Amino acid sequence: METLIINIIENEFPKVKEICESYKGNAGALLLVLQKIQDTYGYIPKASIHYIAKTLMITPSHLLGTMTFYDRFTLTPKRKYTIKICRGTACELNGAPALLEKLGELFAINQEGEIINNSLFSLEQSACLGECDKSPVVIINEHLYAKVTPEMLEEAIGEILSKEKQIDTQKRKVA
Amino acid sequence: MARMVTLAIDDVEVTVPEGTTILDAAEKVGIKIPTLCHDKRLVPFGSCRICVVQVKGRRGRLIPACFNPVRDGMEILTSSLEVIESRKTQLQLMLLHHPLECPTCDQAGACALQDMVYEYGVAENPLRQVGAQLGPPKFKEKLLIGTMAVKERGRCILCGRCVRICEEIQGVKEIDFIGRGFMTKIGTDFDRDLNCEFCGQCVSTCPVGALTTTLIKHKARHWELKKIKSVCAYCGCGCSFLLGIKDNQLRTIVSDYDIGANEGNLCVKGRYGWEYIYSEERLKTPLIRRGGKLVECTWDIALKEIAKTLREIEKTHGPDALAAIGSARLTNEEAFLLQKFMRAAIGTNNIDTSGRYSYEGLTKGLKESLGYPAMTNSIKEIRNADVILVLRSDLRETHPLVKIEVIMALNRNRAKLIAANSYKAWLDEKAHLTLIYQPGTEVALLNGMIHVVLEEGLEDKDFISSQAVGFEDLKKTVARYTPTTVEKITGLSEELIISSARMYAQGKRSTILISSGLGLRGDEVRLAQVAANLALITGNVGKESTGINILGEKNNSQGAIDMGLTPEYLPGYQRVTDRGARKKFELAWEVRLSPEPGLSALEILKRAEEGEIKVLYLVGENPIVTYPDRTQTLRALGGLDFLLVQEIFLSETAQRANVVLPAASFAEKEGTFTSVERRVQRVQRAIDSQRKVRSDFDIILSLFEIMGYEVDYTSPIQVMQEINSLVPLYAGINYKRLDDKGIHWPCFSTEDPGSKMLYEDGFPIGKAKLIPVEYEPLGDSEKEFPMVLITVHSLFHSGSFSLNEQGLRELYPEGFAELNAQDAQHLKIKPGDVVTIKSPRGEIKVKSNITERTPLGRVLIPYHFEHLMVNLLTDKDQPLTWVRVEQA
Repeated sequence: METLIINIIENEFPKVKEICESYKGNAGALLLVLQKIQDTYGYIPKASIHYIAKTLMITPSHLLGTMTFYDRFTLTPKRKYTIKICRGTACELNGAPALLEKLGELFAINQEGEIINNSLFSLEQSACLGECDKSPVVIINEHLYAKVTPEMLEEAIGEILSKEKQIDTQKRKVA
Repeated sequence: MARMVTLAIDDVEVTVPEGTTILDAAEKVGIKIPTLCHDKRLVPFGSCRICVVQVKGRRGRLIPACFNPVRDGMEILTSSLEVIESRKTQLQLMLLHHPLECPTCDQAGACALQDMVYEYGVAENPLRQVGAQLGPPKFKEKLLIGTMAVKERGRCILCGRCVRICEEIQGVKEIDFIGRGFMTKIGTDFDRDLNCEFCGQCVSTCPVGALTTTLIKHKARHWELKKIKSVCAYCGCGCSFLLGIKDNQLRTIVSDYDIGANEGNLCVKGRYGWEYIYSEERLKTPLIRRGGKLVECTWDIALKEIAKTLREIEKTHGPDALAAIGSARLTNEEAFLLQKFMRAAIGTNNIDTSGRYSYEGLTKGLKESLGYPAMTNSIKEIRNADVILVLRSDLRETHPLVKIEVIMALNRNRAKLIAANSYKAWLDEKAHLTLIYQPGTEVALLNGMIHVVLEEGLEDKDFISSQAVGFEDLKKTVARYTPTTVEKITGLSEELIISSARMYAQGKRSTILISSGLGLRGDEVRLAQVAANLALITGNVGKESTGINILGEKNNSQGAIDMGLTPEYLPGYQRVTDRGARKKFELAWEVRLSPEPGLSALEILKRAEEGEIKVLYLVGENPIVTYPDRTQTLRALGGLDFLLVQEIFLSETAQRANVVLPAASFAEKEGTFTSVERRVQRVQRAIDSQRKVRSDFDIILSLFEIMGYEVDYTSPIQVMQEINSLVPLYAGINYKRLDDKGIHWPCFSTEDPGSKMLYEDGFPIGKAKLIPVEYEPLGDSEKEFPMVLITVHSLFHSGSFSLNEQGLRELYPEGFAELNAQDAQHLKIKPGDVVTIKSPRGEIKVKSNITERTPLGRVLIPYHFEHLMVNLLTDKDQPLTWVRVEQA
């Protein structure tokens, strides 16, 4: 393998090497390995993808394909609040795009769909959550919001923001 | 015998074997169920849901026909109202982001989606408004694949055929489904540039215009193309395809599942490597040397010059002062005519082909052991083998179609792969046992395996006693090849040798694959025979999916030797020294034939240097670049009185000729090629040549004429008729019978359907011969030259065709000397450094690279690139080249 890749892994992500070692050449262990790395680092480092692929003897395309199929695996660390917008068929037809548009107004979202100007929230677009009768559905950290309108979404986020501000103020008071 | 099942499809009763899918059962009774994600070569996927059919009486019960097996008493409706509605909705969903740009889409006319949208009338699409809101920028992406194809994401219907064919057939898995749900796209990790074989299989299987080839972009509509069947002129796999012609110009290659033996599979060279036909560099007129330079001339002048010279030299020095070497790319008819010209019109047996080196030895070896000089089984049987021993072969580079068979065997048949090579070939990653041995020690390895088989009692005693002779002598010889001894010779561990032997012997259907085309010469005859020994003692000959499958490099390597482009054999392996054989040909050709075997290609060059050979006629051969020991070759050509070169490009050898004749490409002529599996197939003329270019057939006929030997062929058909009467193996092969799939020889009469597999009913020589073979070391390393040079073959190149093909050149523009990381470190060489490589014969400078596939003590160089002059290092008498590598 290219020495550059090996260097990055050994210096910046040594646990990746550790986890992959015992599954060398074992393509069937892909999900297990990804789970372990996700749980260790909170995300799958982009730089480690070729290393993992080479060690397990699968192609990097296949690895990314598997990774992007499951919402459990992320390329960026998950933040305190995860806003999950359902993009399943029913939610899609019932207003999910408008919700995304609203989020685009509230935050700065980059090409990859990540919120870049607020470190409290990360944005996920998930496949069908199986709550189609409540479409469109938004889940924020396990709390499910049903039949969400853009206004409702803005309100929910506003509530979280003010709650966090309170916690922050209290922390400073104590300090 | 499979159990039979009876069911009714659209009230038509059909009985099929258990396990048949509804789709296939319907096809049997002429009912066509539409599909989009289905490809006959691939495992059914069920992603498009177009092929859904209704189980009668059960409303709402629609099941996909492509992967559901039939059941007794099933009643299926293929076009009920529910089914039609379902298909319409499916199509509308697909059209959500599929732009209706048929007028500018190259797939129009051959688009499964277009056909269905038309048939089902889904122009009105209420879902389209929703679709318009979706469709982020990625759906409008266009990505280039190499230089030959383009991917337009908006058109993709996510049928997955491209992903599946890359995985199931090619074994590469370069692309996959990325993302999920509506946002799914097909691609690589983060849209990294493709780094694959660029075979275009994904492009050819795509049912819509998402993957198309740029070579035809906006140049021709599918319905404008006249499609002419022919056979690829690159490697020995003998893949068939259709040449797509518009306005007498070749525009694209179309693959077709139903023709030939390759099921529509092609590689990068076959599918995209045809543009050399239109290269500016092609020879357009005859050339003649005047005042030290080659100048253009007419055919008249060229032929007069040739006539004068040939007659003069024959008269003064005798016919044996002339020699010819023909390419393994010539058609059977042209090869036959070439050797007939030298033997009947000139009167010498000095005729050979460079295919002699590496391939002819293998055929000779098998002929002695088993009776026929060729591959024992057929290509499509390999997929059903359960143990495959790949010996000294890099199938991914030399024989892509055979590599596909190995991949299919591994995927579908859970076959075990034993890969034995002197470096880590591409397939080795998928092997169960990888044997990287010391170059040139194959014979020792196989003898060692035979030793283990006998030691552990794994041989097939019945087979040996009833079908083979020479067992006792064989036992005595292999007794000395203990695993310990073989370990010392080959460098492989005892465990590995023993495991390989056990794995091969215990397979129910074990097959051996040996290719050529690696630029290696060695003890080919003995290699074939020791492989035959291993196969014979385990009973792996004469049964399906077994055998010793030797693979010639070029499109007509097998045919060239069959047709007698050899100094010691007349066509059909009849010896020139055999009175009876000679008499047969003398009667047919009405001339006395020389009873002396002629000179082989390398001997011809040696004698040319000494002045004994005065005239050399090269047809499609380029010795300066491809033969070992470039320095000697240059001296040899310099020693000639007259060099006549018949070529398609002005090769380095042609540049030194006295007369150069411009030849036609495979698309411009008629004839037949014989592939590695003895399959004779027709090559059809699809386009006209440029005005002054003539086919090799026509050129050789002119030569007959100027030498005063009368022939009355008007076309290659008559040559094949003559071959029928003189070559028993080809006796029943004529153009009428060579339909879509060709015929395997031996084909002894017009009633004979040909023989896919040999030796099913015994051996033509009575019993097979177990010929004991001893390992002979091929030279040794000295302190001065400690490393072994291995010349390697690349998938993207083959001779002058590919070097003059822009697309292929871009994919693989230059050659490197590949070194092992440790060796490089020791020699203080970094990737990209220019290194000097010295051998006892010469030295070259070449850029280096560090690759994982190179073992310690070896250096790998591709032999395609003329400017590298690798053959400055090689020797005509030494099969193995020892070198020294140092910083330049």
